[in-house]
Amino acid sequence: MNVIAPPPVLDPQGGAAAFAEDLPRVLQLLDASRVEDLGWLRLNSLTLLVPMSGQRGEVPEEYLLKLGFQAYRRWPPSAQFVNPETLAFDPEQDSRWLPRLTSNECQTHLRYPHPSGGTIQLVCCSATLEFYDVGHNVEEEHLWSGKSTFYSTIVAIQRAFSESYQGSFGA
Amino acid sequence: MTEHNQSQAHGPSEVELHFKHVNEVETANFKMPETATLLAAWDQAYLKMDIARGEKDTLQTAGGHPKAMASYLGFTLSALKDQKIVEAYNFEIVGPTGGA
Repeated sequence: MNVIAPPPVLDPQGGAAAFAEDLPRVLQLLDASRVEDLGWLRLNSLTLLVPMSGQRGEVPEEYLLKLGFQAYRRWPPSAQFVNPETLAFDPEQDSRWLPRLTSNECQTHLRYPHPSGGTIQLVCCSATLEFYDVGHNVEEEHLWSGKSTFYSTIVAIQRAFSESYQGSFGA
Repeated sequence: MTEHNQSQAHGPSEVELHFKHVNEVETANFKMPETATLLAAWDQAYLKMDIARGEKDTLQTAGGHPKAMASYLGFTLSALKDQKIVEAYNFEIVGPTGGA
């Protein structure tokens, strides 16, 4: 059944605590002792940077996913692809840093209308905060459970890279 | 005793398997005969983790570039490697997401 989830409520303090609690569990799951072992970078108590890559030819094309935990774990992490130099995303300047993903479970949009006006980059997947922030309709079974961890978000996006990577928006 | 009989007496070789349940953040590491199917191994992983199979759960290889295993559930574990479908017996169980 299709539903529209209520808009997320930000709770940075709770999000930082939940992230701090889940990070060791995820590291243990992945047989790692530090985020650096996985190539990740914990920028601060609310931000994790995760390199990702897509492959069309011989050479992998690199991207940087920025996860934000401002509403975690009641809601999934924010997920934005960013310019690796600025760690931000400007659709005018940085479209090259946004992969074109077109799987049934995860699609990327350079400019997606936001209910409050303007547009945002959207990693359109039920495991990202922005998906709920824009009021996207969703199958009830796909709703973020609040029991999942941010690793579910990473895996969902990695899977979209494997299944449907179409190069960069800037290509 | 022939080589074939010897093989029967000792049984098929076993392989080490590693499963991670992404949503539940659980792991299972165990051995199974290389003649077992991937589906049987997947079933065994749920038992080892004491987790019920989700109706829409899917199986994929673990790592940064996962490969969906739905088409290979009937393959034996040895065939998965012999036919270069997997490099290692590392798998992830993933719950459904949507959004497109």
